[in-house]
Amino acid sequence: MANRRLLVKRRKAVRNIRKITRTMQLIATARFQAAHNAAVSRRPYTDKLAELTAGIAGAMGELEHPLMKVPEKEERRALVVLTSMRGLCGAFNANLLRTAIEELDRQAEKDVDSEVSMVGGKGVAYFNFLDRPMAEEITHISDLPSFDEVEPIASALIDRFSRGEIDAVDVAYTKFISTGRQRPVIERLLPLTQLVEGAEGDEDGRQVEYEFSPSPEELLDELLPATVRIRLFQAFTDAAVSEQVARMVAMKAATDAAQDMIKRLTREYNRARQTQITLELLDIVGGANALE
Amino acid sequence: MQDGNVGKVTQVIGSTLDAQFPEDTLPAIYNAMRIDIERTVQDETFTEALWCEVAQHLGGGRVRAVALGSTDGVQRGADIIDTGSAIQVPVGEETLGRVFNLVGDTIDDLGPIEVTERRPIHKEPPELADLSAKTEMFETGIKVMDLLCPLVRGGKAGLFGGAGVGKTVIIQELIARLARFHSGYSCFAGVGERTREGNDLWLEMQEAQIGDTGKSVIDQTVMVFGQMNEPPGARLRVALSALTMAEHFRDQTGADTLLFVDNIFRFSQAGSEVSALLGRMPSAVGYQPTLGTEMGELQERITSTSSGAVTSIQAIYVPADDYTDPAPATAFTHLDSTVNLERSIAEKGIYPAVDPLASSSRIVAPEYIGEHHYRVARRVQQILQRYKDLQDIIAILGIDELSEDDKVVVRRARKIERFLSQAFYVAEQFISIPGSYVSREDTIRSFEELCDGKWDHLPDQAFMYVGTIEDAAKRAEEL
Repeated sequence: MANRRLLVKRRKAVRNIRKITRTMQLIATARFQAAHNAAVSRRPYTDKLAELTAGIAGAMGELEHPLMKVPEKEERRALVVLTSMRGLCGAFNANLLRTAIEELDRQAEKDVDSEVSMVGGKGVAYFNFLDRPMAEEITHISDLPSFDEVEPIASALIDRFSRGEIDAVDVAYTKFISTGRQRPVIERLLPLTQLVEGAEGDEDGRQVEYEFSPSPEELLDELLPATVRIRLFQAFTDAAVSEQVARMVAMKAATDAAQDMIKRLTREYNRARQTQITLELLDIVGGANALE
Repeated sequence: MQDGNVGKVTQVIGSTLDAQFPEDTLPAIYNAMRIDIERTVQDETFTEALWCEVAQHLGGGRVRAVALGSTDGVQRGADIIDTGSAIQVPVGEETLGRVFNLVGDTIDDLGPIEVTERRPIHKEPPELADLSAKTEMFETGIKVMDLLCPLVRGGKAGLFGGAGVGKTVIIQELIARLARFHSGYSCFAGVGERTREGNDLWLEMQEAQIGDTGKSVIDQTVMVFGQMNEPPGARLRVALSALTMAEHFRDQTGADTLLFVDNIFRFSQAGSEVSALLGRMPSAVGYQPTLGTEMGELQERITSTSSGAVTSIQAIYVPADDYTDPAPATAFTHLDSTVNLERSIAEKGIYPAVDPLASSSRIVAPEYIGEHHYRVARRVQQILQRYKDLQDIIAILGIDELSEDDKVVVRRARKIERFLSQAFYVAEQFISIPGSYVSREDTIRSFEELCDGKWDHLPDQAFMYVGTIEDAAKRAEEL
């Protein structure tokens, strides 16, 4: 017979866990709303900026800019990995880190030197556990990342790329596609190549003719770094939204699992209680009968 | 038998009966008494002997006795003859290869046997000074048992388990493994289990050969049965009959003797069935108040002495999987090694379903099995214990929330769990995987490498029903 007191204790523990996971679920839902709204309200600006940059770049035809220069041979590369600061978000970090490590191994096979800028305590802990080197550990980004937090990271990367210290910059993050779907992806941040490829006109396929003042070179000097910053910021925002969704889902599953376990423990407890009562009754009745 | 001391049956209550004797010739406790019952089956009349055993003196020349057979047809006033001694069973070399019931009659249809010696089934346990103090491990080739709950040569091992978790299969497997390589004698007591199983075992023993001597296992074995169909009195005493035969081999030949008992719980159960009829007040959970004494009297006799060793392996049924039930609980304390079979493990399809955390042995200590073996056994248990502790967290939050170290523990524990399964010789026809014998060195090495993480890359499935760790690697390639 299962020990009754033990069952009560376990049930109490599971109840407490359920209380926590349910609260976490509610908080994650609220945070997700906030992060989602922020991301959505920012999108028109990001889109317009991309359009503008693409337009200018397209209009200029053959263009030369340090941030768009594809090096002849890729030798040193930076990979920014956006994991979460906190746990309890299911397989969010595990999935992303798996993708990142696969990419790192692939690059290592091609003799490309990758340096990892790890964002988020969870990723730092995992890489420490695996004894993998990290060039940078960033663990002070808030749940709703602001541009001011991301800007120095982007600027540092742009500087180093411009100086030729690194030949490429990639960012690994969890792309937010919809509430039901988030996917770990690796995107190229520098050099800005896709920008030109995607610059073949606007929606109607028309090539808009611009007249520039100041000169397009000067404009690009301003716009291209801004694009890189905004893109990195976008990745941070997406990661934040995805994290909250993942936490929401994970905590919902945990609450349900805890609920099931409470149900099971309650049933076990009731059975144990009934068994004990029956046995005691039997003992009493048996004893009384024997005395007659 | 002398007809000197004759009494009359005065009362029959189920499987107990009262008899009146002259007060000056009152039969002693444990004395065997005989009633001749005339039966007619299809116009054929024959006389059948019903054996009884004196259990209580009621005063005034009246005795209360436990019937060792069916009391059907016993009449008040029938003659009951006191034999003047306890039930006596034949002992010695002549009994080898034969099957008996508890009063020592053969039941294998091969005719009666001629013996030079019979011994009473009741006897005092050996003196303290005669007990043997040797401690030596008894290798079985079953990984989980050799690693975590090794048998003791000349010691007692208990296989605990609820209904249908594989106690009898393990007993039969141990007979197949030990008796086959065993030079001494074996004794099997079937106590209140299925008659079919007894029959299977008998046939199997006739087929199985001892090493390459050309002799069958049965030629070195005595079997005594008092199965489910027998009345409680028979089930209560059949273990003693088998034990008496085993004791003779131990004392007279000095050979190592194996004693298998399936199932000790039925002995307690039979005792409880007759207890109330004998007029005793039931004790906890309805068991007889003398439960501990009865178990002690039986278990204390199963022991190794300076003249020879008896290694006994007993199956013990655990009612409703409740290990706190008084019957299995009283048996626990007498054993050198306990092998607990767990339903939740059997449900995962892992056989033998030995619970690696609850099973233990007296000799799991560095001074008996060696520092290395001890360390590996404890490491395996630590990993499995950690896994067990984490189980609730995994059930609620999922495995991704564990720390990296714990994830490694869980992965390894899952492999270890599966690696504890093993194919049995006697189960080959059911699972179509040939049985495997893993030496103790291989077992220790395999588990050590598993704990060290040398085999983390193999899929969990590769560890099911393989022998050594190299077999698992081979299996992984096939998958």
